Amino acid sequence: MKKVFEVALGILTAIGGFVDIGDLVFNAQTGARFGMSLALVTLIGVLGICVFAEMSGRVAACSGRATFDLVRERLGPRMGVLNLVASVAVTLMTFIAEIGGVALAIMLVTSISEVLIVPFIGVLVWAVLWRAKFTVMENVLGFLGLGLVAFAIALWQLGPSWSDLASQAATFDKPGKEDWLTYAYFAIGLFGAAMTPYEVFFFSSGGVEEKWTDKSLGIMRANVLIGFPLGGLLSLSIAGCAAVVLGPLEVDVAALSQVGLPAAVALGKIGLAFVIVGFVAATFGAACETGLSAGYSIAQFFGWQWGKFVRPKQAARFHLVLILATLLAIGVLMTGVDPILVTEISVVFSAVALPLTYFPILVVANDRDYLGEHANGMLSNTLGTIFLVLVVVAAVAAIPLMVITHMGAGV
Amino acid sequence: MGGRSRGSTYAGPLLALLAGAALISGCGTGRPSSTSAWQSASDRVLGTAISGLGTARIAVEQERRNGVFHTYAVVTATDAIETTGKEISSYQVAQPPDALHSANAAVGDALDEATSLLVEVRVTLASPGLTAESASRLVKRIDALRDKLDKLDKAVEKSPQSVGSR
Repeated sequence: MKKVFEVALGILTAIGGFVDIGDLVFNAQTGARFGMSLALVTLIGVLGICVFAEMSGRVAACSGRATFDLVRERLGPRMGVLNLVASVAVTLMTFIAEIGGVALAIMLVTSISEVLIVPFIGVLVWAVLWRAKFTVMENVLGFLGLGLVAFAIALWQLGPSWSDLASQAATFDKPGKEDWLTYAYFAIGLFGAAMTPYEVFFFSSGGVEEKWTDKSLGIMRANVLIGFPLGGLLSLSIAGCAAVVLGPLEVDVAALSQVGLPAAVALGKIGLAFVIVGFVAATFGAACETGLSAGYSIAQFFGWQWGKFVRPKQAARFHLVLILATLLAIGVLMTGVDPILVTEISVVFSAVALPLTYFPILVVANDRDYLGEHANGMLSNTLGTIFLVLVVVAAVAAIPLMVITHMGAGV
Repeated sequence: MGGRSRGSTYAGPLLALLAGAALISGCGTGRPSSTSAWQSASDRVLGTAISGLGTARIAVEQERRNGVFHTYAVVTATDAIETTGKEISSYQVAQPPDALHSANAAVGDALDEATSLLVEVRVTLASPGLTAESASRLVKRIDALRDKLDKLDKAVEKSPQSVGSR
């Protein structure tokens, strides 16, 4: 019974914790502008994150060490530095976007400017990272993130033509007024949002924090292979709601307030309340995950003591990184920069950094010295290689498309 | 050290070259843009205004139905003004082609109208709040203006010279 509960809890928190500010923004934007025609990209992205999260989780469970720890050891300091710089830069950008996202979500119910809220959110995130137990943090925020399930109920309540939505998803075509380059830009954005690098670092380091062993492989796989795809369905629900409510009015999503409107249309205040709780929990949870991921990556690379499983005094440099990252995020957001803009940029740069993140994981997951009999098999390697090709294509195309399409505004 | 001084030596001429290239290609403030660039900029800004009005329409409708928290509706309307305003500001600082001054003025007037209506929506939503009558009046005006902007957008795309001519 305890095992069943543990699996169910893991799956639920994986669903609730899957969506972050990048998913919220990009799924609503693509839904409103392209209907469900990019749904396949979300599904491919979800499959990709499942493949690499399973690999990094397996590495953590079998070796007892997190990804960065092994990347440097296995691939040498040069490749390690490249991996570190790319991943930390993108993770910090995502951290800033997530804290901004929490502030925007709170602004929706208080109407206080997000710039004034940011310092409090920053301090709160830091306090959670400093004091809260890892499992409590993960489970509470993951559960509250399930408020976003309101989008799935809203979509059902809106009563769209399901065959029409399915046909849009299957045809992989753009609406007539949009151009192919903008379509490609949003496809890469969705792919980058689904495969954000921090998710695998957090997942593998979290495995070490929770003291996974090879006996935990079943629970880990259930979290990844059931929780993540169900989280992906939430992303599709957000896109579906936007397609049904915002699309016909030609609303181009540029603010978090617009993302929640379809839930209000379908479910009224109660649905909207769930969605707002979901927004706060999803962005706050992701802020904690990205903050920790930045600390994990740097500390693991330099061989410092890290993690929340030891007292802060024993991992002083790790906690110093968390403090500096939080101050950086507060400082950037206090300049008044639009958090949605930061989100869009962070998602595109995530796409750019993907190969540097995922290639080392594929290498380490093949090493029998670390994983023994649990090293990658044929299926993992085939899928890993296919996704590596896809992430290289996305990485090469991301910045040119961002420039040419004026960040998705159109050619 | 050597690398740094080499970088400083090249940085000045490189920046000057980039600025020169930008000016020659018509990126300098005050130089008229090409007709196609004006068309796509007008299309973008009109699209943003139509989007802002669509957002305001949902906020008004939901507030009337009591389907949204009052603060949420006001924040939504404020966001719509900010997003539309930013796009309009960057549109207005660009110089239109010489042959399209009246078309540019017509687009500008329509954008002013959109901004004014969005502000009116926000003010009405915030205080004293919507009545059924004021909500229905606002929705009608939003729909009419969205329709107007849509027609203008199509005209900008098809025959920009005809826009704004009497």
